[in-house]
Amino acid sequence: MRLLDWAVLLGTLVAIVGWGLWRERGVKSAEAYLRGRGDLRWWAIGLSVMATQASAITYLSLPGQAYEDGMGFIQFYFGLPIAMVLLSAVALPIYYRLRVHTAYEYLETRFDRKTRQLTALLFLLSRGLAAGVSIYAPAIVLSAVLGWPLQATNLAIGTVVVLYTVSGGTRIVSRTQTWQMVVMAGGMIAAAGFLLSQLPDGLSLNQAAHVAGALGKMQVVDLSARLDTRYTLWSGLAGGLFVQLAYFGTDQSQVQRYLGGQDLTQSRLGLLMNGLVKVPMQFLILGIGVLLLVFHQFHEPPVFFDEVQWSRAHQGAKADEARAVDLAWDAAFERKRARVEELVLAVKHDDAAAVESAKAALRQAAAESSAVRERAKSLVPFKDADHIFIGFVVSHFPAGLLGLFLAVVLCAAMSALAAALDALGTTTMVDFYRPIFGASSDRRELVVAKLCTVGWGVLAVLFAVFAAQIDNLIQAVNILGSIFYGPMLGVFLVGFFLKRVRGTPVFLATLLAQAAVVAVFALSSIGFLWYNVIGCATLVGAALVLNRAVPARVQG
Amino acid sequence: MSEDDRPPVLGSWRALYALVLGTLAVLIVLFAGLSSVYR
Repeated sequence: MRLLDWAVLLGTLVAIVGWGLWRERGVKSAEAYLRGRGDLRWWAIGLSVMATQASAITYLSLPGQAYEDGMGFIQFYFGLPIAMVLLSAVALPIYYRLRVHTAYEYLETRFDRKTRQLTALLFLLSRGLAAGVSIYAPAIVLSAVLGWPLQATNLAIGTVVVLYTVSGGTRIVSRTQTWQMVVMAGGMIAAAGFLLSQLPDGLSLNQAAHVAGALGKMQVVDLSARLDTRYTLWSGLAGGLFVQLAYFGTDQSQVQRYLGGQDLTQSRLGLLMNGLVKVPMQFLILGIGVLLLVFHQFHEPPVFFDEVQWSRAHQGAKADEARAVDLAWDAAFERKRARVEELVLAVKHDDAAAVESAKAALRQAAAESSAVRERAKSLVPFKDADHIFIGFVVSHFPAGLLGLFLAVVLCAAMSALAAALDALGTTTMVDFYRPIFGASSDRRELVVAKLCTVGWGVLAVLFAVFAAQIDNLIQAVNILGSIFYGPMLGVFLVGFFLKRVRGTPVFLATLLAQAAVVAVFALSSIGFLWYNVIGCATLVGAALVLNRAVPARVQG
Repeated sequence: MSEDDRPPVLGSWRALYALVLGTLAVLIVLFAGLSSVYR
């Protein structure tokens, strides 16, 4: 890293955190720590909600996902705008009317305490584990760029974020997120602009898209109705709707963001802003991965993107095989590049027959290239998908832009992790400590709330230590969320729409639905977006049946 | 605070909801077009 990179990185982070600490220096009560002051405008809520969802994983893993699997992941977000509309119309008015701190407080009003605490426990499990992955992702970046040991980096990031979150609670999290989101958006636009400038002279976007399309990366929308295909239009609209409804409507890390709004109108507008901006923003980030893939058709990429692991493979028992793979990769790249140039020429001449012929030849060359890469993967016991984009960033970004990208990653890490720890601490305090130990002094509650935040931070760091075994980080987080979100959403949907169903049937149905989703995850190949539908539908169906079967006198 | 507050633009919440959903529909059609052209 050069001096300018350090200046941009540290300047950005210190300015945002310093501004937040200065603005929120008066937070001295438990209420202000847990809920904020309720004065956020719609644009601040919208940016805060987006910053909470866009963790560091988004910027490290998503371009790599598009590089390997194409643009189809965008379909995961198709349910989001619909979810924003439904939540604005149904859930927000209820939360505001009851003036709750957490979404789960509503469940005690509607059902009973055990249902509230079971649902809050599911949230703590899913968000607590995901928070660990949120620490690990930026740790990869800093260990790659600065050469720090990965586990020490995990510890350092976790410590800084915990201290930062504990200092100001909910309000500092939301305030700083507005600027963090501005940095993230600006940094990714700059990264896309730089990648465009690195494509060969004379290569138009149309020609680049034809190359990416021939390599199977421009299948943005998949209309097939296969349940075992992870991302389709239908799984995005149906499964995506359920996961986004659950995430934004029942995950306290999001609920806490918009409950800090000035009023219902501002909170609704904030969510709708997210509904308008999110899909184009994710398209831009995925597009960066596809642009990088096109760049690598003209400039040879490494056969294995985690270059530290690949150099180790050259020193072990399989060193001869690794060297053979290197030679095969060089040859495969040259053959593929020749096919790419034929395709670009055919597109330039607008010769449809030549374009089809060149695409077929390129696909053949790409298949040979992929086979060599598979040989490389078989020699290293680690996955490299999350090293694809950061490898390019470190080796190609000019002075200043590298620092800005690292600021993007750290802003994202801080915003998502701070929101998660804030919500985990608030839920532990409001949904477990207060019901169990009763009301205590404001000072004592403030101390307990801060201790809860610290406790979750420690657990998240411990989980981060084990995250190195996970293949693709963003998918891991989404799969994890989908295992718990279906039943969580089901509880709230029953609460909102099925007024006759009571507490004990819903409580039992939650246990059944959670067991069903875990069984589907362990025993079937169904795409993870469907877990949300299965969990939610099982819960609603079971609650209706049990509501008839369980005698009224034992219903909560 | 009233739950029936009118939004500051477009006159009603229904119109704002239609804007969000309509934008999504346009994006999906555009993406389907991209998928078809660049197969």
